[in-house]
Amino acid sequence: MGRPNIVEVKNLSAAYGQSKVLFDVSLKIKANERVSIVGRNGAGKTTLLKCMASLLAPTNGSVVYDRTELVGKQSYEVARMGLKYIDQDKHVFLDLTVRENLELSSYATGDYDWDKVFKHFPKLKILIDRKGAYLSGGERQMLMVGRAILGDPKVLLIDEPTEGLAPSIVDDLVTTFHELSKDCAILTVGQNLSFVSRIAERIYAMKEGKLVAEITDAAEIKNSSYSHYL
Amino acid sequence: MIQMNIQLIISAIVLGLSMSGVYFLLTVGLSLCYGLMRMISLDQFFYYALGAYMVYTITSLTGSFLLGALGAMLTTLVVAFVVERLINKRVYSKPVMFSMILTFGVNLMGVGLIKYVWGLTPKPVASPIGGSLNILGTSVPGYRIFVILLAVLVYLAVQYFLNKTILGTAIRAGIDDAEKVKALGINISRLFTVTFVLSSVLSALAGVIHAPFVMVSPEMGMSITAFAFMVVIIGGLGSIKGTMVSALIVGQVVSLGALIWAPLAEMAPFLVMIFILLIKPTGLYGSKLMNR
Amino acid sequence: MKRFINSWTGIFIVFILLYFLKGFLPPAFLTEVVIFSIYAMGCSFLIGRLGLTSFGQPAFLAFGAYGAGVYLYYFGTNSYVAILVGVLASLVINMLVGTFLVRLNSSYFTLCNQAFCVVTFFIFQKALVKWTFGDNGLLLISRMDPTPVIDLTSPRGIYLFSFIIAILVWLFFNYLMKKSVFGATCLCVKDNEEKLRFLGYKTFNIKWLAFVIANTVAGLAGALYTVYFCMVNANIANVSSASEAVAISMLGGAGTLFGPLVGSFIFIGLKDIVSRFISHWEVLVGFLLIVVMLAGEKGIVGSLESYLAKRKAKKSMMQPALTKEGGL
Repeated sequence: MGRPNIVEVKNLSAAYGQSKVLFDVSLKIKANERVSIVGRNGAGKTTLLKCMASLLAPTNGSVVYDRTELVGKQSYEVARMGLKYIDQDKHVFLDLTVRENLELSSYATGDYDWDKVFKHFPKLKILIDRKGAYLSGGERQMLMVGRAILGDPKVLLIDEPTEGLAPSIVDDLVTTFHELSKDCAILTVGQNLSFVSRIAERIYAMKEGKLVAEITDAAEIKNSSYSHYL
Repeated sequence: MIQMNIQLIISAIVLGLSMSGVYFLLTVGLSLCYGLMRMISLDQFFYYALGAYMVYTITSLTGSFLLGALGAMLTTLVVAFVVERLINKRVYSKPVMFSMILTFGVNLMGVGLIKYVWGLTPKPVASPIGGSLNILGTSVPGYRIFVILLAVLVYLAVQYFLNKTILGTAIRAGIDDAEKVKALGINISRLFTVTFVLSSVLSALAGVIHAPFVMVSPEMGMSITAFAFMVVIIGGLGSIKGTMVSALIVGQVVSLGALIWAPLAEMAPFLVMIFILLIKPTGLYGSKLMNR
Repeated sequence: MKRFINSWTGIFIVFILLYFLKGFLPPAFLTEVVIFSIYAMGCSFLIGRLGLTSFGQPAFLAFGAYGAGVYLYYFGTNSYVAILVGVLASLVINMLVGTFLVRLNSSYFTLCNQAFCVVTFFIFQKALVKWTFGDNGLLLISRMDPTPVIDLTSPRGIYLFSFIIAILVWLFFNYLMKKSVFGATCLCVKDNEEKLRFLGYKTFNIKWLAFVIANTVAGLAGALYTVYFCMVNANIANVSSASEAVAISMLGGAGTLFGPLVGSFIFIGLKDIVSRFISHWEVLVGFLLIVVMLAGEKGIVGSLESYLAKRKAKKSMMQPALTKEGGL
């Protein structure tokens, strides 16, 4: 496939204080690709994403996005450049309405075209004046993704997108992610294998802070034959 | 005799309301800073004193209180900006304790510098609004009414700013979770600066409008500290509405308490504070969020 | 343990020598340093080991001071008893105040503590003016009899006595911080109170006990102050001096054993020197606080300790490597 690499992570290491969490992680994401990282709790998946989004400073290594080095940049700059991180805790701003949540994102990116958000998540249009505190888990996830796609990001880093969501909502997410990947690359992280099997084109397995395997074969992805890495 | 008592009570209530105005302006900054940056900014008391001194200087030079007030707020804006950029921003990510000790240091230094520049003798500031109003047969100084109106105006303005402008929305979002605001692509450190400078300017305004009530002295920040803390604690840290409500309570308790027995003016709000904390350890409007 | 004894004997010998070498430094300065280090010990413990910043420390100093002062003025003439009364008075008050203050989280604790200090100042200055004589204070010079064994009314006597007390307090805190389970749980409270609660500890009791201990030590310092100055007035509770204890703790290193002593020495020395040149030394205190907080908040002793620990760790890491090489 001749698609260019949009993100290239090289030899990334990170530590919390004295304890090392990531060891020389290298990976590539092509434009409009759907990649998943699977691994157990504590394998360092979230740390990896946070380092890529500059929310954490890695101890060494580099993250190149769109021919720009991201390490050392402020996280808000990274987000404005089009690499957005979506947290796993489904935390929208509780005191803000859906409208205000979107306004904030528009303010940050200068992109006021909300139609594309409503195209993917029509339900948000109905809930527009509801406060974040009164949204359900699925609606919060919609809002998190919805406000992230403002500003036309080229990469979405989504941490545990299915955690705590009902199966029917997960089905919706699968179709949404497929549609979204027409415009941007998506890197998800998680343990929900059936979900990963349905969206990923390529899978990295992560164990104890290292990437231990890369699965590219569509059949292998389909029948979850990588489950022993969990 | 009864007539006399009613007059006393009415003027005490009005005085209490104007004190509430001062307390509110001073503490709204403390509350905002705690809400957004998780810092307790004790240097607000320095900006309060600085505001009072600037209004004294400019008013006695130019004779215009309005000019003095503007000058005071502008000076504080600059000073607070410099302090924030140079010192305060370094401790935002650390536990509250650090910001408290650090800003206390800033406060001490500021007060020391004030003593150098203006000396120790208290300075008078003339009330800019003379005349008085007649309320139910009691004559009330016009300036007190003006202070009350100004405080109401500021409360409405702050509410408008927080709820209707994009920066205010960002501040409310940051109070909820500063990390997520960053992830959205908003420059949070600029947001912190704006909030801090805004808080400091409001504190300076508190000093400006309080100056005609009291003599301007270097210790004025210290002497209002306890009341400000009581207001913040009773209302609950981080809540603007709570700050307003508790400023009203403390103002009345102080002025009506003084009417009953002079020492009550300083003891009564403390007793109220203890009473409220025993019922609700986070204050009237403080939420569980504040435990973070 | 051996190192501990060495450092202790060192300090002990220095102070004893200073006691006999009269002309070396003014004893007034040293007495103040010793008493202040007792005072700051409690504050340092609260900040460094419990994570509670106490800007209301003067209030607790005042309870001890007034306990001793009121006893000497109205009841007796013996300074030993006065100090005991001061300590007991502050113990009782701390036990009461602690039950209320310790329930609050750390931000509220600090604010309430400072408000409490202001109210205390006010009580001593105005509300109880009939008995405390407010700003004029209780003058005790004519009411203090010379005491047996160590004469507390003489400057050298009070110096020696407060020095002995300081050693006892330091030993006590050394035990508390390094040997006891209680000291360990205090650190846990600072680190993560919730987790400690999950382990089955009632954190309120820990905080309460620590609060009472720390502030009773402050009360002890207050009682010594009264005896030393032969007077006590409301200014002792003045909130504007609240920064001193915190500044000393941070300067020396909060939660370290020698921090308060080193901090007091530097702080009071600087204050003595600086106040000769400039009248408003608040600028200096503020500046010191800012510098210490921005320089890594460990303080002098804290930085020294971590430097030594690092060197020791390096050495012990080097050692086996060397022998290995030698073996090869």
